[in-house]
Amino acid sequence: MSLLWALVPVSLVLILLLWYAARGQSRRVSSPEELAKRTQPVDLESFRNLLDPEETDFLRSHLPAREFRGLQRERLRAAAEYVTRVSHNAAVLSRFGEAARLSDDPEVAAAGRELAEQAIRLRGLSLLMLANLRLGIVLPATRLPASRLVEGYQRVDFLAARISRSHQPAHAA
Amino acid sequence: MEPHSALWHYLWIAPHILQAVVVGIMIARGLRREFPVFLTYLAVDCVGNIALFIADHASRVSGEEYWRMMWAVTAAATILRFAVIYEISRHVLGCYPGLERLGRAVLRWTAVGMLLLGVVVAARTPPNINPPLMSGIRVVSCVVDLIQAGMVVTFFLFAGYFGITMRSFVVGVTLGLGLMASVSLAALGAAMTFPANTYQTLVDLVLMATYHVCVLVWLFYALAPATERRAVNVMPDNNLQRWNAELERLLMR
Repeated sequence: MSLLWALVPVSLVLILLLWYAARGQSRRVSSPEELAKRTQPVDLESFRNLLDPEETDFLRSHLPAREFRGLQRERLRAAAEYVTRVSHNAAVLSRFGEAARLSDDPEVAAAGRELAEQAIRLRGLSLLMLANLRLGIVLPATRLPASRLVEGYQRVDFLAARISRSHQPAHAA
Repeated sequence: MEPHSALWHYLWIAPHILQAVVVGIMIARGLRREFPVFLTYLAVDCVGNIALFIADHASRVSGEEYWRMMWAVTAAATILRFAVIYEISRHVLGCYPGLERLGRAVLRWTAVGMLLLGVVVAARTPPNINPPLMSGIRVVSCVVDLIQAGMVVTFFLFAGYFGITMRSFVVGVTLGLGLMASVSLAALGAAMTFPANTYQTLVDLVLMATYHVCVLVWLFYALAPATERRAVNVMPDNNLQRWNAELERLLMR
């Protein structure tokens, strides 16, 4: 069969991806109710513990090497699940920030833009972190810097709270 | 030059008349300043194809002259389509300079990857019985379609991954460009496996029908009202409590 025929399935895949991406564009988050429905719970403390270097060092020094590697893989898999959720929440917050950016209220618009920027940054960091964690699952001895991810996540939360506060006086009035 | 069916004539000329309608709507809705390249693309493609249609029916125009015209129109439209992809990326990611830089780098590398793949495909293309002027246009179009489809899909997925919300008109333009390039890629790829041009008319009909659909997509999105601006202005009274609850749930402190 000619290589040219391979362009037919390639084209079908591209059309399916287009459809998937266009469908994703129709998912807009413009109300706190939608935000509550779409975000997933994330326990930051547990996440921090899973990637705590002191905890890792303690386990490394007190467990046989083989057992440590097995346990560390489990911890990293759990951490990856947390990051996946954080990443998902960042995407939802980014959409909300984008919606807020278009608000007629300049304060809400500015806060929305800042929220979107931070959520985008977190989304990028999450991608890097996931790659890092997957590497760690293959090579459990690798040390992982979780601090930047946590810092980014907290900043997004702070900005989301600011948007809520900026809406309150208008509604109260 | 050649006798064709009424359907063939309709599919050739109708999308270009509709393109003129889209241009008119864009000007009327003030989209001309936001999307000047897309507007230029529509205008150039419209005028170029109407000129080709006239040349096809003019006895004074030789076959070679027609194919030279075809090359010129195809080249102009191709360059403008790349510029439209750039314009869309700038329009969508322009608010986020860091992401825009990353997006451009991703698009550049996608284009390079697709070009390499296209070169492999072109090298494996069997020789065609047509003169190089005619058959060459297919090979080049196929490679260009591969690059453009790859770039459009990558950009769409990239923006979606970072939660960037595109305006409905931008979604329509992107969707139309991606659909056109993807279907054209499959049709040209399949057609080039038959050096004797066995299914040439069928391929032409598929390509023209696809382009018609794409122009209808652009027309639909050009007419669709921009609803996004209503978004966060309609907030429920108790949004603060819900936000607080949401943050508490996220933080779990």
